Amino acid sequence: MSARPPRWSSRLAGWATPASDRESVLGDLQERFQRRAERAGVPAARRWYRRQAVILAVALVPRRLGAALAGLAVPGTLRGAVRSLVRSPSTAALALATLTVGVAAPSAVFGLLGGFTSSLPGDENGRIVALEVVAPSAGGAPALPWSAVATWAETTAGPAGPFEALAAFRSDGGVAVAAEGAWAARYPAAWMSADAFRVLDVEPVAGRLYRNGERVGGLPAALVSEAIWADRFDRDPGALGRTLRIDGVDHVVVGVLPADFGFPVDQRVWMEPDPDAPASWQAVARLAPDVTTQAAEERLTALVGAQPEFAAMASGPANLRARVEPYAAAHWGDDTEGMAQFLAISVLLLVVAAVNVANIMLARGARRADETTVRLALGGSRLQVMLPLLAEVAVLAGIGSMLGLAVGRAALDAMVGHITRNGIEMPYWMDFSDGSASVLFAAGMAVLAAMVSGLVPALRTSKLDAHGALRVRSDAGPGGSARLMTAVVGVEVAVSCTLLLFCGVAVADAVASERKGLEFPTRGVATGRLVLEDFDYPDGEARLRLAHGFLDALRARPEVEAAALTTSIPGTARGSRPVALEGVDELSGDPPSAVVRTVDPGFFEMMAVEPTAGRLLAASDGPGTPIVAVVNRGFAVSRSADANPVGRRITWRGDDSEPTSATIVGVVDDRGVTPDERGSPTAGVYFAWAQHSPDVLRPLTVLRNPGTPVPDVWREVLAALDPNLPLHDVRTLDEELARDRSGSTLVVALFGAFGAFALLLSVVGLHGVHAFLMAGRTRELGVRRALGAPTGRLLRQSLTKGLRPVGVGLLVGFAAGWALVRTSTVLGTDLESGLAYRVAMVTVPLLLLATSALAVWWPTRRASNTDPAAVLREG
Amino acid sequence: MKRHSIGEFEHLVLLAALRLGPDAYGVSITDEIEDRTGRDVTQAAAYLTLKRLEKKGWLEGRQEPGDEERGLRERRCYVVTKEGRDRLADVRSGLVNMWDGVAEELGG
Repeated sequence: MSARPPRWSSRLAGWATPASDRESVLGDLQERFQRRAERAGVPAARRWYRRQAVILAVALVPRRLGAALAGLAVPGTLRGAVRSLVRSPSTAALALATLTVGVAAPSAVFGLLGGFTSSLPGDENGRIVALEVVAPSAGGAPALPWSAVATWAETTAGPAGPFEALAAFRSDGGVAVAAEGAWAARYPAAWMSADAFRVLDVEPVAGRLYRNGERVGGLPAALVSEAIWADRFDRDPGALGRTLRIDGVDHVVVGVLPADFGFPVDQRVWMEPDPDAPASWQAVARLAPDVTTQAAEERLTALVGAQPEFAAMASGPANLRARVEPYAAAHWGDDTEGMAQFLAISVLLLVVAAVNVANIMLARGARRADETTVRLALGGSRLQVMLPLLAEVAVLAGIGSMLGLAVGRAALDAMVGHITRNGIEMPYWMDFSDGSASVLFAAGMAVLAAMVSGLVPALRTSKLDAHGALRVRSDAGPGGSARLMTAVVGVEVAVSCTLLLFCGVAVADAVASERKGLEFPTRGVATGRLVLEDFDYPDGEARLRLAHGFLDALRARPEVEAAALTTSIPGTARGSRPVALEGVDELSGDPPSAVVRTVDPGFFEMMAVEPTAGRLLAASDGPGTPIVAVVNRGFAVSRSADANPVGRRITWRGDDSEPTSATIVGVVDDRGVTPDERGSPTAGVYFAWAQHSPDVLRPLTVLRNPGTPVPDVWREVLAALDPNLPLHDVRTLDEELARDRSGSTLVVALFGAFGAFALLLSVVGLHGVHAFLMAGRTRELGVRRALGAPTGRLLRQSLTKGLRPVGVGLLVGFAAGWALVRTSTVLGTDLESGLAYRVAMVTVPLLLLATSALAVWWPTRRASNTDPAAVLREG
Repeated sequence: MKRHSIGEFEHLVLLAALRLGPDAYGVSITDEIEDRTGRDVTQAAAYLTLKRLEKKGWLEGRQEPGDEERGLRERRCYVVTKEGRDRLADVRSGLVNMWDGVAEELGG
């Protein structure tokens, strides 16, 4: 009994060898295989055979392909494809536009994803890692005391440890920095041990780094960013050695770090840490070569289990463990997951675009049936017959992907610009400019588009034979192609429905959370931010003195029409916290949140907020009088049965975490608060400024003459009160509100564009296919009309037939879209209860159905209105 | 007429075909080379070289029916043409001249 060579390898060898030599080569292989099997055993012989087959394929396939392409004259074919496309400009333009946007969307999203996932400079292979301690059963991550991180550095960083270097740091989004007598400003800053410079591999551009525990003339050392050095010191080398007052503590500037460095996020000032500061620290380290994150994690977990700092957290040693992960990944966490979903959705859009082009090509292929038949009859190979169509798709995909890449790049720049303009903190290491990956991705997308849009029509065309082509002509409708095109339409509608549903819910969700209740005057109102630090304003009295002094001085100025103070900008949901209402719920029972704002009495007048019950806050509500509050109608209606809670007490937790109580003295209207997800006004509570003296002031000012710059007026007033107090975030109220909405604006713009494009594509595709099919049936309809069939019935029949794949596609797409919406992490979690969700779920299928019906109806009507006599004359 | 150069493996294949006589074919040629030189010959190398030698006019091929052992597939038998023999003779005399007096240097 002779052994059999491996089947697939035998096929591979046969496929690789030219037909004329196939028999002898396969015979030789089999003979050698048999001898080997006798000599060395069947398994060894089979291994040998497989190897031979692969070598044959590697050696022969490129030669065969080269010969085939030479025979097909590729350059000439491409020229022919371009000529053929130029002859039908509208079809070509439609296909090109479709592919351009189809490639642009995913490449823009890919670029965004690439930027978000870029690694820190100087970080080869993700070796800069964030270190954390997690205690899952104790509910998350315990705070890291300085001593714990110091122990890690001593025992795990060094030649024998898993880390090359390990550093502790903490950061602040804005500290007050003042150069004595020159300027004062707020900058994001970090305190970090000197080991951080080794971890991050950063060198100063001027001066030097500081050392651990170093004192310069008895003062702690600080480093500033090149940006500050340029803006504030004109790159003066004399800036080194200057004293800066940072958060009330004098520091000596010893060096300047590069402008593109901003660890941990986008910091501009770095200081030596004070180990005694009552703060929680973070840890960053550089992994030693050849040490994996898992190995480091195990080593650190063993250490953490024995550390007294975490003894209280550990219910058992197994519960407490260390987490070591690449720094950039730890920073973004789940956000990249959302981005990846976004990418998947944009690729889906490309698939819809490609399917559309496939339909266009199917129609072209069907029109080319005569030419194909002749080529086949003359002995052309399948590849030769497919080639003109494939070449057209290749030309379209090539140009489309280049255009798509350019459009995608522009869209990416616009998105990044939008994000940074609206004050979302971009970590310093994020780089959106790396184009090479995007080019590769776009090329991949182009190949995908070409495969989807070219292969099916090309294969279809090549299957025609003389008989098929004759049938095509006699039916005046390309039988198989019609079925295929109809199926493709179904797929397109399904994918579009999925996409549109997702985009619709996203847009509706974002729009619903827009601030519809902006019935208060925003024009001409300027806003800013003043932060009163503990070291300059140690108590409420000092803070109140500054606030009242500022407000009185402003109101005394002739150019100021109105001035008011608030702790959070009206029209935003900032400052939201749980508030308990007496007799309804307790603070310990996790009561619903309300937007809590501390305001001076002038706020109500400026925002045109009117009382509906009780009274407004008054100047007499000051220190020493009973603590009072005013609530809005949204609070009153949602929290108390009689909608009049005047006289009852509310409790909330202040900034110092201590529960505080107040008596409700009035109810006001809902101006200045935002509607919630269900469209009803958010609950709002107002407290009296003088009773709480907050340390953050958001002054609101309206000038009589809009031409005067408000900041100048504020600065002049402040100069007399506290020249070192920095003023930030000076903007108009409209700008401030636009920033607050920027996230949802971006979502609306992106998903809106995606959704609109998906809808447009499916309608254009559907219309194209149906117009093509109807053009083929003109004669048939003409004959039927001549035989007395009523136009209405013909129209109805054609419509039903045309809409059948739409119905199937809608059903499938709706199910898929529903699943996608429910599982997506991009959208909000509490969707089902929202109005937006319901509206989108109903609107999207209806919209698709309506537009589809229109797309089918138009060509049907045209075809059935044809004059029967004209058709018969032609026939 | 263009004079083709001869590669080392082509040289071996021609010699094997010459040794095997009129019944030389793919398997017997590869076996001959493997037995005498101890090197592995892949099917791809054998096939491509035989095709090339045929194209150069040094081998002449003909189809013969196959037997059970090769699944009744045809075999392609080769004989060395006159041009092939002349070329081999040229190469040999060149090599003999070159080797004259240096073989001892290599200890052989």
